[in-house]
Amino acid sequence: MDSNNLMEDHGELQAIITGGFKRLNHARYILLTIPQGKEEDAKAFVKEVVPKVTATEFIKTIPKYSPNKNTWEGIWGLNVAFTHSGLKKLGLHESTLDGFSRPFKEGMNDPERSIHLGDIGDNAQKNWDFGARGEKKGTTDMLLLLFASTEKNVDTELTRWKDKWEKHGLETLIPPIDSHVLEDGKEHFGFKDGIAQPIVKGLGKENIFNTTPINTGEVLLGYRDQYYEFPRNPIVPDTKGEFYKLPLIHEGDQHQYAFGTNGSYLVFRKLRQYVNRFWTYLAEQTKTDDAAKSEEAMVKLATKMVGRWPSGVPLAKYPDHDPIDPKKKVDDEIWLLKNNDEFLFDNDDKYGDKTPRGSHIRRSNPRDSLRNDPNESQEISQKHRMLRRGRTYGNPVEKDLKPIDLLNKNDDSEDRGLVFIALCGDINRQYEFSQKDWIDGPKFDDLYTESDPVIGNHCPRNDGMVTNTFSVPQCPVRHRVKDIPQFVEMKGGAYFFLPGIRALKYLTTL
Amino acid sequence: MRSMNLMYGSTVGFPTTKWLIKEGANSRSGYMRVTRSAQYKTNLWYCAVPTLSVENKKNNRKVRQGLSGSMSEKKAQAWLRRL
Repeated sequence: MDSNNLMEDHGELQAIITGGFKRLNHARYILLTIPQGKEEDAKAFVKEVVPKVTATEFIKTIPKYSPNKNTWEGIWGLNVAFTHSGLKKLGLHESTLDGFSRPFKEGMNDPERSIHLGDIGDNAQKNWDFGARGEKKGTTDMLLLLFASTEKNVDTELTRWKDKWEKHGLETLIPPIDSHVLEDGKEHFGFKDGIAQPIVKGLGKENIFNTTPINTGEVLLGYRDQYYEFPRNPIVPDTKGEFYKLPLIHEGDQHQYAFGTNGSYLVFRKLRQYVNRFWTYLAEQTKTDDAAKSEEAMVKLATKMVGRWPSGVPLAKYPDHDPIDPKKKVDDEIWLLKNNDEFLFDNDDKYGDKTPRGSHIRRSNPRDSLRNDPNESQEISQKHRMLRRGRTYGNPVEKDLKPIDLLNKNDDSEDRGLVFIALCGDINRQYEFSQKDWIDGPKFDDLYTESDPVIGNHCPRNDGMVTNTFSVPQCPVRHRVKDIPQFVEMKGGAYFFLPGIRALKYLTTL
Repeated sequence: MRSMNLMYGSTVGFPTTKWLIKEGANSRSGYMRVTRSAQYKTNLWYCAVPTLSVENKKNNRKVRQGLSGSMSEKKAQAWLRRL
């Protein structure tokens, strides 16, 4: 299948793929296990879920800028994803189950995998809220994603679905995760999040910053990926269910029914954020006698760690100060500044004077800055991107998320953070590689003893590598901060598969 | 990519290259397949300096070299960047 405009292909994709349910600011993430003996009941539950799953076609009908809030009243969205164990319990054939990728089959909680993903020390499985291997409550089988425009609406829907899954004997592993969009789309440390997303061919997104699009197969199975190959696609035997309604794949003169087409792997990680710990460390590193200067320095160091100012403006464009006046109303010009994704590093920031080489955004997407070869670097960067669809969870420390307020309110006892969700066609190449070699890697871009200062793992490692420093290039010599504590802790996750609409329907016929 | 093909292009099972440097390792699944099929488990290995990468060591050498002799202002600034 070649990707033309997939948006024309009505109702094939679950809506989260083409957009994160943008106008529906409240979400609930429900993690379910199918207890032993409840497999048939679970199938009945899935039969109730599938007809209600929101496809992209529906999202297109929602008015983009609705002046009347009531238009959103009663609109809610539902998407669903399954782990390998979940699909097995729901009756998918052995040969189909075998056709998924290795990380998905082995699971995120494979003990060897945890070492590579930095799920050690404070991030180790024994500290997870759910999803650890051998957990007594059961394996993580199913993920429901619920979205609505108000708190009341999302909770009404949640109650409705809760009655259904309880009736069918399914159980939650943890209470549903509460999520609502924070002020200005920021995350809990006070930084605007989710700005740079790859443009994926065929998904119909407007390419405002003229970035190079990546191939459809980087997100969806059934299409060519960035190596111009087709990601491995699980096929179904022509013996069970309504296999003949599934999309076909052709190999030579053979054709087979593919379960994976129009589906995507969904990486789910619950990341707890320690806001006071973050700002306290920064304040200590930048303390001076002048309170105002200290606050400015504290925010500047945080900005150097992230790579963008709290407002979202990239250091690459404004290295010395944030140009946004918070009192001014957001117009198109301000929107473009905050969401700017049109910059490269090789030409005018080779040494990281503006955006430090070890900063979060440079690690997540090195663009043209690797190995002194901008063309090859761009080619490499394009092979390790993912669509991020996660949201913050929990209540903010302070509604306006101003750094000085976040510092002064000493309150890390409440559970808050980020539900990290990434959609990709190849878990190992896109997610695991970025996590291990770029985010947590102390030798990323030939650095020495630093991992991602904000989200990286700073715990002692078995191989003796030190990861808890961060250097800010300066004249005459760099400024280095040490002993960075762990600001973000992994609290549970799993590898899910988000099937296409036809695959979901096929599941209900097994 | 180019150096991968030059180094391994003549090994058994390696994906076909074009003009010595094109394709080959860029056929990802082919490359992964031949690599996995030829892997052995290593029971013992030794690393002289486990916490430094090759690039780190090259950089350290340049730092050491800069400690003696004379340097222009511009070279001195470039050297300071290495620290």
